[in-house]
Amino acid sequence: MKAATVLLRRSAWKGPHIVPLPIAESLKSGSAIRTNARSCTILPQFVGVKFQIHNGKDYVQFQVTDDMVGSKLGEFAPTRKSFKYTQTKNK
Amino acid sequence: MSTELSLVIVNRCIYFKPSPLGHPPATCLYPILRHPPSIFAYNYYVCHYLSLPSFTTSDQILLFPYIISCTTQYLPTNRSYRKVFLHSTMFRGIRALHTSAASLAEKKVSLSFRKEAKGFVKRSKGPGNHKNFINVSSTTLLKKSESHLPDLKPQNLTKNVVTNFPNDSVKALHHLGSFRKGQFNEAFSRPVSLVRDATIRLEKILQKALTTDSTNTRIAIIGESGVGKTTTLAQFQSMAKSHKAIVFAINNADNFVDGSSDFGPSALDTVEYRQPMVTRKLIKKFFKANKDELNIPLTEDIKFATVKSFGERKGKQQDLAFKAKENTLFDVLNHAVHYRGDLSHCLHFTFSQLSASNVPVFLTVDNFTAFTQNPITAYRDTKNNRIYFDRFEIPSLILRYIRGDDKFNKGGVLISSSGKHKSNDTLSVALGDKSYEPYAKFGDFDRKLAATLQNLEKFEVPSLNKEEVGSLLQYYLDQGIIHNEKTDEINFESFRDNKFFYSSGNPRELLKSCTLNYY
Amino acid sequence: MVVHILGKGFKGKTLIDIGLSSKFYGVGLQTAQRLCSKLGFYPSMRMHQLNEQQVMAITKELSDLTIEGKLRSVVRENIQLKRTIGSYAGLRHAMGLPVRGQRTKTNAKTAKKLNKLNRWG
Repeated sequence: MKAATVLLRRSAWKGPHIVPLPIAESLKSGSAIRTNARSCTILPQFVGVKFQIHNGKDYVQFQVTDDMVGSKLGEFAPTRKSFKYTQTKNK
Repeated sequence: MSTELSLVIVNRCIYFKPSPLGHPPATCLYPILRHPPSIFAYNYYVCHYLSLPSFTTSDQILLFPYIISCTTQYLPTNRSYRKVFLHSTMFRGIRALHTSAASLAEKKVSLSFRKEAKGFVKRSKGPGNHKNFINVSSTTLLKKSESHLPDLKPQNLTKNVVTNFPNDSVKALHHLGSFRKGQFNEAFSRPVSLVRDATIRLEKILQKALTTDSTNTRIAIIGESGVGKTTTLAQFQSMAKSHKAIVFAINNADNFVDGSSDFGPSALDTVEYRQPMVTRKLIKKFFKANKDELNIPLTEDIKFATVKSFGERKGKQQDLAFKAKENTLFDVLNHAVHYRGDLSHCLHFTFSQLSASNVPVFLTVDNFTAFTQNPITAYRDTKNNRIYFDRFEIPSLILRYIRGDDKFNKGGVLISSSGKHKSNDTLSVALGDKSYEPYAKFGDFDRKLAATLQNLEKFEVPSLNKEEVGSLLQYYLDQGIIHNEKTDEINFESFRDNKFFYSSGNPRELLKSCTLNYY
Repeated sequence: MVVHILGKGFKGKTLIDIGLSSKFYGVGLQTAQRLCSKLGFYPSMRMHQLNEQQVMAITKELSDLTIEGKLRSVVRENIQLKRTIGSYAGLRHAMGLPVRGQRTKTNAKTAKKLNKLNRWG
């Protein structure tokens, strides 16, 4: 990815958008962090932490890897269910 | 009805004998040319004759493609014939009341773009089919009638007289490119011009310049678009040639800045870039136009390095040298026009020789406003930055002569602005027409260039006055280039006043209103 | 007259910068102009005016750039990465739908045509 596309997204003086999360505790205990903060940027410190991200209905769990750094938490919890045709509603 | 109409065809022309009906003139001559673009004179009389029943069908068909105009005034007076005339299928195709060649030219342009050709449009592919308007009109207007006019002589100029460019200078002016396509010179057998107040003023300047050095004569010819700046400059060049002066004419300054010709690093210390193709062209033009005056003995030596062309034998070849005092500038340039290598050193040598000699030399630059409008040229250096125009050889040479760094012992520098360029404050501030604005943007005002151009003296070409319009119109009437008027019956005074009003004294508009018709 | 540069044929009368930008994936007008001015070509120079050395020089300059196949593989890698980390953008590429929240009820023709994991254009 080009550096410019990251740089041009948001003013540098603001820094990345983050919310307070119990990262250190989670790393120690290995428990997943359950949060609704979909717009929080994934920082390098997050790598290895398990998250449960709200998708509007329930919490999607995933573990942060190196490649995910720089994206938002919400990107990994799809909010829409794809349409599938069924014969009866009660199935 | 009488059938005594006699018709003689001689050399593709039709002669009509006196009319049985009485009103058309005694003998009329109508050229029938094979090529429709060169039609000039067809008018209502042909139509009138054709309406007679005595004509055989074959004759009508022969003449039909060439009938263009028809006025109701000359329709047969007899009502029944009139009806026959109007309803006959033959005349359904009559186009309009206009017959000027230029109006046909426009038709031709539109035809050339109509792809589904109906038989008579050439279907061949390839370039040249789609001429633009100016090219078509300049070829279709071509007229070879002889006109007897006084020559433009610097000794005895009379105001408001239409003159020819004299024989001795007209060829040189053609070489220098002083006549343009848009000037409608093609409508006349040879280029003509009107002696105006500006011409006489310019002649006085010329007289002074023939004896003083070029720093005393640095003129900027300005005026609105179409007012005759280029023509006035051509008159000056012609008069200068009559005085056996040397004229170095740059007829379009756009060529140096629009990126249309090649460029490369210059071998000279003073400038950075050379433009080989335009340099070559300029030297050729200059040499052809001034052959007779170039017998100036050299004051320095000049050497032309041998250029080996592809496939030439590798032998020991000597560089060609021209020696001071032995050779003349003519010898140098005669060699230069056939020389394949770089000519920029030759151009600079020529200018240094001209500056050293005592022959009057005039440097004229037309469309000079190309520099003020685009001081940053379309060319880019290796770092992709655009190049300022004075870093090129020839523009910087022009500026040196305007600034007075270099000068001719006798002669002057004339620049002419162009109406086609966007107006820009640079020239008008330099000439004192506008006040200096310190906060103007570079695009509107180039301070560095304006400082150089302050050396120029303003020479304004005004619009035509009523008398000048009158004498031009009289000449156009005599030449028969006014097709869209019933020229027989006009009241000249009111005709002139009309034209003067519509053209607002602008010669180009006046000539357009006489020669062009728009459907 | 046809001039061949990196296996592509150009009509002789084409302007050099316009020709280059029209035929190479990853070379726009600006890149082509920069290349031309680096090699000292004048703005209205045409393809047929190039001599052999100049064609070689253009070839060399172009081969230093990330264009054509190289650039396409870079784009594919980026899409593939998004897919493997399981992000929404990767998912949309895989589904062949618009990535940046555009509507899909109508339109979305370009996305349906182009958005693939193995994207070609």
